[in-house]
Amino acid sequence: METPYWNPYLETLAPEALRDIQLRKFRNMVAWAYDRSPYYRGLYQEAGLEPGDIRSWDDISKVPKMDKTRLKEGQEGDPFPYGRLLCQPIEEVAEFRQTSGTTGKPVYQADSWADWEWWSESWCYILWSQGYRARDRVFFPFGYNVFVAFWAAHYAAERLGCEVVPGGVLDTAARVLKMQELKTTAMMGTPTYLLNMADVARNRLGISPENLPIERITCAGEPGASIPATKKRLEDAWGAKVFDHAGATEIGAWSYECLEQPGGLHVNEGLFLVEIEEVDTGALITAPGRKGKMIITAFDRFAQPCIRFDSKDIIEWQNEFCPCGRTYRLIKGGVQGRSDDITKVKGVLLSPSAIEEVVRGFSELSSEYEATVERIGDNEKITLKIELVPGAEPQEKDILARLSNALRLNTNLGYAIEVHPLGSLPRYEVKARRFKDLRKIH
Amino acid sequence: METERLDEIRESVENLTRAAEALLIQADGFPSLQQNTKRINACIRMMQIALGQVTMTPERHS
Repeated sequence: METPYWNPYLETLAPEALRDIQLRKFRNMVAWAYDRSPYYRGLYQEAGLEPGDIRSWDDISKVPKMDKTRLKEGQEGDPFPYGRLLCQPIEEVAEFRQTSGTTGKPVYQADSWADWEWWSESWCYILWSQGYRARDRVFFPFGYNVFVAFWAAHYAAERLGCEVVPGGVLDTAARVLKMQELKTTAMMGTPTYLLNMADVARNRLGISPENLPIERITCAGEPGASIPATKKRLEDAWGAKVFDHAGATEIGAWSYECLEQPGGLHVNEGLFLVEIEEVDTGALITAPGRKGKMIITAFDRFAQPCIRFDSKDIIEWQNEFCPCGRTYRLIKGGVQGRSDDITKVKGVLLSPSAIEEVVRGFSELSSEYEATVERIGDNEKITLKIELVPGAEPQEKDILARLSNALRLNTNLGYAIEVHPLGSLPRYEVKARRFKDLRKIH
Repeated sequence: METERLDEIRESVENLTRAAEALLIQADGFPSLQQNTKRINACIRMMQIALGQVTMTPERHS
């Protein structure tokens, strides 16, 4: 009998029983890191904390948080390149990956073979919940490299019994042709790249992507697949169901959107502990309805643990449980932004994902855009560069007026809108950088 | 899931754990067996995790 759950035990466990497992696992990870990592031990000793001090849920907040700065600090010294964060002999490290380093020096991630199994196991929850099965032929249009991206998804798809097609070094056009040739039924990528692929299929190859037999798409790397306008654009382009997932190199694959698509992502609470904190005060948010930043712990990753990591992701608990029957809680609307991306412009708080939601809602615009904030004298100016799709040019004036109104309504700000020729704005393969705050540079 | 069935599954996983630990000792000096047993151990640990068990306790490994 087929079950909708990858893990019929953990995913439907009563919340109290799940909390009991989480507390036991959290205590174990703190003890593990204290005993094995000179960095964690030093951090905890400085805070006057010993593993035995963690007895109840209230004690969890006593454990110092990690962030990227601390991870980099912990990687100074031996053994190279993981330094004092490493909890197992370096001979037991089987996999190297790193963060993109967009905010400076990258963080290196050490995984033992068992950790690597854990990575793909965590992706199995995602794929199974989204309907991937052994009958699927899954295409990976991704440049297998030092970034973790879809590596674990590749091995998870194998574990489910799917047939995996690695699209590695092929260029975008060759990838589309390979998908057409092999009649692949599912694929994964960043929303940015998958929209770009659809454009290449349609405009360069004359192939209608919605006529390819792709049934389901899993997105990661950017919040787009939880932004309704972007999800719709992807679903229309490919004629497929589009699912979101959020994860990170330092953390793991911690969340997933199931077949019910309840407007949020399940947190994999059997493998992770997610806490939500007020951005300004650090106070714990336990009830739905208030956004905060995510503090996350991975329970079963041992070579280089991730304990109370401040991810900067902005999330909020969803009120209802999912009709799918999982008892894993939902975060509403997926990852809603990053605390270090939300910025004040002209005194108004602006989240770049709000611009994306508006732009992607206009079928007359291409999927690419770029927003730039700059200071001119005492004033601040936001410029939005867009592209019109073929045939929309005669309505340019009307489109710009409607776009301007929609932006003002959704972000409370006025924009200088520039129309650029189709195909002239940058295209991205992995994570896009469409929001540029030049005030931080000059 | 029913407690009885879960207990039976846990017992089967525990039996696998013991068999793999014994094999690892027996495989000393036999790289092919030793390295493949380490991979089996990693898979067994995933089963323990799937059952909500705490793995890799510091006491066991220090």
